[in-house]
Amino acid sequence: MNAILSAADTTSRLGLMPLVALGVYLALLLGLALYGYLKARLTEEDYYLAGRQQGFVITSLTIMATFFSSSAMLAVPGTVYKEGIAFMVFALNLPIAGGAVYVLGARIARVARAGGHVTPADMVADYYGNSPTVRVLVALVGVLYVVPYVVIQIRAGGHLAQQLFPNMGTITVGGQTFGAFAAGATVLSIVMMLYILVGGMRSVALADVVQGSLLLTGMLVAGYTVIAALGGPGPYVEAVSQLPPEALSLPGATGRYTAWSLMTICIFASLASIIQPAQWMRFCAARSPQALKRTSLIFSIVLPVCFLLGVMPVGLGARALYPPQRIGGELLPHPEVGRWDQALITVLRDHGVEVLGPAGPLIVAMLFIAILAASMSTADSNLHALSAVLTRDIYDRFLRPGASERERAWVGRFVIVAGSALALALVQIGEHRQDFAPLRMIIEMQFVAMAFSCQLLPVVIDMLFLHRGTRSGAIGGLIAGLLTVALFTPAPGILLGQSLGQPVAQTADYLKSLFDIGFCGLVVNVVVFVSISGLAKAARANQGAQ
Amino acid sequence: MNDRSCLLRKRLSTVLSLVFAIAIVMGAGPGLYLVNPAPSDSAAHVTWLGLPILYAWIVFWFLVEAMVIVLAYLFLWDAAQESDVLPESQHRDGPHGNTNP
Repeated sequence: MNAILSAADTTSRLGLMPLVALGVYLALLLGLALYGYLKARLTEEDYYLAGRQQGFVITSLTIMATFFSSSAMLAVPGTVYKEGIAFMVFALNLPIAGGAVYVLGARIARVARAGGHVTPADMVADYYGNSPTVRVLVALVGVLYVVPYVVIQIRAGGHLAQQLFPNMGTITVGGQTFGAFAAGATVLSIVMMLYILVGGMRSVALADVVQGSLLLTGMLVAGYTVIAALGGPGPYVEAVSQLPPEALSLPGATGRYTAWSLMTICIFASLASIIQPAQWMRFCAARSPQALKRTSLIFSIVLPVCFLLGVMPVGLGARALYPPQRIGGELLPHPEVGRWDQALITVLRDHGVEVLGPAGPLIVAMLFIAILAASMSTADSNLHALSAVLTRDIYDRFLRPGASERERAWVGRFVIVAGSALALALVQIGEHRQDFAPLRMIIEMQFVAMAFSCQLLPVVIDMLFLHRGTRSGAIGGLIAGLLTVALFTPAPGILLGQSLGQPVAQTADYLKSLFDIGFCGLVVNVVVFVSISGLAKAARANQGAQ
Repeated sequence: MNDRSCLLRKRLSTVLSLVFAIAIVMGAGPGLYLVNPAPSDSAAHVTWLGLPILYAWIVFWFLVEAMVIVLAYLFLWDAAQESDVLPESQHRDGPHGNTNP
């Protein structure tokens, strides 16, 4: 309640600034859509990969913007606020991901250019003897990664609109009341859908340039705001040093982050995010390996600086400004903050206008837009990638193998419209019915989306570097890895019932406390991949000898 | 590229990979316990030069990782010289690559 009242108070101090900033931002995105449309050539490769001609500035900003969703501005400072400094170790995943942009990305781009591949399934299936099973499995991994991200980002846009326009009136349609949440989620979806439909990858990447620039600047300004709110760097460091020991050490305030879990998250979650379909397509869209080489350097240095000096210190500063409370053994956010992921918004709301000088209202409004941009940059890239995966890997290969390029382009656009509409409908229904099972399941899926994507690593490394695996090994490994990750979702409880599901869930919880989920699946995946590949080769050698 | 330069690149590649792996283990892995103040010990040193010790540790290992990437960018990642990145099987077998069953 306090948080809502403060939001209303802040909005009145910002005046019309959020509306103006939002209007300018959305108009800019639509202008970029028009530019993308005018530059477009009517080919599938142009729609999905911008003709493979993107230079390093666009490549680096689109890759960085796609890498981080709204979690960069909401969940990351929120988790530092909750857990303390332990979660700041997470920033060390960024140089790993940055290095992989060149080490994996440049090779992916070169193979894709030579083979005319667009999606991960295109290339991996082609490598393993044009196997339909491999294609379906890799496409499935892509869909499992992409769908939760699109839905969650649209939902985040709705929640942000509630913060920006808390006094907005409501309308009632068919007995349902719609307010700022519905308006925010709908406007975000429609604008995003329009610029993806009209300009394809070119518009999405240009929008990512705007969104990435806003996001990076926003992170640093947010860090400055919290430091200024505490009186400058000296008082900030002093206030942080006075935090309780649990906030300044591992395993964090809730005991969640051990060194092993952090290390496996840093390595495997980052690599999983780098080989997901939207990033893969960005590697393929780069003009040259040189563009990816520069992107790799920029990513590895700029993003960690923005995290370590910008958005993560917000979480620690918020801990000093709004100490969390322990009630009945449970750690809860301060009532002024309301929810853990509102730490940055609370700092901006309560201190932004004062500490940022005369331009404070404008900068605070821009920071709110930066959070919206973070949501949109992930959702648009993933929606665009979903269109490519479903059109090229499923429709073109299994449903209508003879479809013309023009037909495929229209199907791709239909996927974008249908995907946006479905995601929006799920989010709207879920907002009115807290127990709405499909949305709850998708939200749960977000936590394992990277773990599913991680299961592609063995086949990608085999395809690019080792060349030892076999088709049956790849299929076996992927199925084993995906099933292992599925054990960490609510699926076992639903499918196996309470008596069998309970021990599985307990084992999964225990493993989750030790390691990253993706890593657990990867171990099983690699063992199966190597074993089956070895057996298949031995059997073939035997046949040859006979 | 002559043999000597090739050998130097290979050695540099090994050294940088090793340093990067050490930085991951030290900065994001069990190495953290070397400096981690015990939460239950109220007398533990939680700061170093005024900064929270864990934060200083993370920033140090980030700098090491960043340095490795800068060196790789300058001396290893020579895109023009990476002519043979297509999987061998693709060279050998044409577009369908690995045809092992």
